[in-house]
Amino acid sequence: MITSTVILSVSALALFLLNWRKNGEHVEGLKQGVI
Amino acid sequence: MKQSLIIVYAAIAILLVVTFFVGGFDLIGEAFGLAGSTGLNSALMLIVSFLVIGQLNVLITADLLQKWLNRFKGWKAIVVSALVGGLFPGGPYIYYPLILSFRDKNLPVYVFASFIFGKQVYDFSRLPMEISLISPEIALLRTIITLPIPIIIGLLGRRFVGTEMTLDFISKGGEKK
Repeated sequence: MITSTVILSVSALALFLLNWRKNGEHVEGLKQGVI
Repeated sequence: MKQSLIIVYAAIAILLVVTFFVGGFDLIGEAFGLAGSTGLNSALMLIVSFLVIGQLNVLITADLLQKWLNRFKGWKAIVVSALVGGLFPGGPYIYYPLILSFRDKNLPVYVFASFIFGKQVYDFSRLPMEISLISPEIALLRTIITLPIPIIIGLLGRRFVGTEMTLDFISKGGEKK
């Protein structure tokens, strides 16, 4: 369970950074994920 | 969503009644305790899963997917459209309008079939949930087992419906009747 959480957290962080660098819509991604 | 909630609540109500008759309020309390601990244990993973899904939704836009679908023809189009379908974010209210937007592009029907099956069978945005709530091994196994299905559907569509049958052709045929 800890391994899964770590994998998912790293993926979320990588995607967040990718969105930030690529299109600046990382905040929108967060909104869509949370809401 | 509302209908799904009603079904889930109805199932809970039935199970509560059954639990009450089997073990009374003690068993119901035990069940709620178990449910609470499961919820607490998976809460962090659920939150992170939703964060991954949100970022994917933003990263993979409909325009990007349209570009991928337009670039390939033949069996490659089947594989690509199945994968694109699996990556496509959102529900039917998003991907059916997208399919309709391809009506004038003369794309064959089998491409759409593999796209829809790709969306329904692969749905890669479901993977974080599967990994967190079930297990990485089962998620991987499920993905491997179901991998050929959308491609088989596309190949069958190509074999039996043909390559000249497009969505535009079908919709025009419908208008004539």
